Amino acid sequence: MTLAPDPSSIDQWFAAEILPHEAALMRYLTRVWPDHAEVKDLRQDVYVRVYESAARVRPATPRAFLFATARNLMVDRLRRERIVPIDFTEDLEALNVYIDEISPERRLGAREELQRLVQAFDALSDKCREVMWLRRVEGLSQRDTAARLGMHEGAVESQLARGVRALAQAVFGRVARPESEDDAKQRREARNG
Amino acid sequence: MDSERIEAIAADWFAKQQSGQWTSADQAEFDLWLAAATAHRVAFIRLDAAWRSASRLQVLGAGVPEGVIPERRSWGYSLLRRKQAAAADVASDAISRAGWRSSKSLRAIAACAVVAIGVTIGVQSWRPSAEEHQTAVGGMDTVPLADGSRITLSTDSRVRVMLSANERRIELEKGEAFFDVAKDKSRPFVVVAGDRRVIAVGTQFSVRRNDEDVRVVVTEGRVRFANDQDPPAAVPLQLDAGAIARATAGSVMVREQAVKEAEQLLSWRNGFLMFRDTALTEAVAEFNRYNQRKIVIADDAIADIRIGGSFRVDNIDAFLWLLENGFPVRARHQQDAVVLSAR
Repeated sequence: MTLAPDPSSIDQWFAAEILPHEAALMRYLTRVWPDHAEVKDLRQDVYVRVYESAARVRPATPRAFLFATARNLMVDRLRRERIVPIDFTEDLEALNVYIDEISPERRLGAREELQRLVQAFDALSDKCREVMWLRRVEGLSQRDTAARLGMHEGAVESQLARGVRALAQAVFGRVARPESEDDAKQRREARNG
Repeated sequence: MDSERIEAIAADWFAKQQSGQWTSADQAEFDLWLAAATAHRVAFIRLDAAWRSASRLQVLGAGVPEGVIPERRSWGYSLLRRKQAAAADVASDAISRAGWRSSKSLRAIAACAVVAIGVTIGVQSWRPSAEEHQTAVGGMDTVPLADGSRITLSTDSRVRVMLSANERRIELEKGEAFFDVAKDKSRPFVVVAGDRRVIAVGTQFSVRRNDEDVRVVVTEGRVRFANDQDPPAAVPLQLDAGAIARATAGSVMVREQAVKEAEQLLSWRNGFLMFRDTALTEAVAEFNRYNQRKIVIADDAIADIRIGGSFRVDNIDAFLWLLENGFPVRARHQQDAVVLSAR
């Protein structure tokens, strides 16, 4: 008799053991996959495979398993869609995971982690940033946030949805929104003012 | 469906859960969406994990006066670079050594860093926020808390939630609530019911209160069950998963069972009441908590009849049918009540 692992514990495992490698995974996928527009969908499919597999048997080395799954998925796709003829060895070479992608990532110090979070926060657009500050950093309720900012609650809720997406991109993808015109102007003014 | 679309929907669900207006109908719909595809689940986990990790910002936010939203690049960066906050440097080096992935220890040490920063630049501590949540008779509601914990309120229940920098405190004023507590070693989760308190770190349990009668059911992890009337040196009772503690004014009785059996007492979360060899008076009292139309037992003779079975909380009729057909009981329907007597 096998016991199905409790879904909430796989969820926790997934967040702790798989998501931290997202940046490296994205670098790998982007390097190999011909169509950059499809890379996010690819990532999703890799995650699904990893999650469903882990629900049956927990992999011993999560990071290696993640990359192996990504590689296999791309091979399957490439074969099925006949984008690239797989018989050529040089094409298979491209799928090999480079040593610096698979080896344990340089551990970010806590200060760097915090800094990244701060940068991600500051990269949010104005309204979104205000909402996220009050809701997440100050811990204000949605109702009170709406009152403070003179917004409808529904609008606060939408901004939070946007904000948490941007946070995920920054925390896992390690990509903050590139500096906008406004930000660049602000930075120049701060420096000169 | 493409990942962008799924992520957008996941974010909408997440924001709705944080809104403070989450109903059990929402929960049901959300559960359906989550179960519909692993891609949904994974997208949600990712957002949830990012949200949780942002709690570290609260440490840096402590350096900003309450009610002020700091300008970009005017917060955090200077605190992180500041040479005077030597204590913070020590703390964050300690965090680096501990490893970045363990957010539990990070928060614990970050909490120390808050104290250090507070000392050097005279900062205000977090303002504790108090929220009240209540359900009507027959109602049920799940409230997600800012720390990631969840409270599921049963029928006719009321709690007051106060999360502060040092403590997560819930006052159970009446009724019953089930607590799914997020781990946070720096802030114990305390449920206060009259003189009694249930203290947890990361676990699942329910507390029911009827004035001074308190019942605790633990379904995961471990809690400590303390009595404010006890002398300070007294060691609180420790309850593990499967334990059911019933406390009255002066005493506590603990029964230990398999978790599955303990969970039967919490079947109300799914809208069911489960009875096993339960006295009729007790079963009736349970039903009455969920329904405006009360059942009254008019004959002592039938009070001790033992019944078993699983009933939807609002389906009194099924319950009455069982009584009339399986036992020597007659049910007379009056305007606002149902009277049970011996047949």
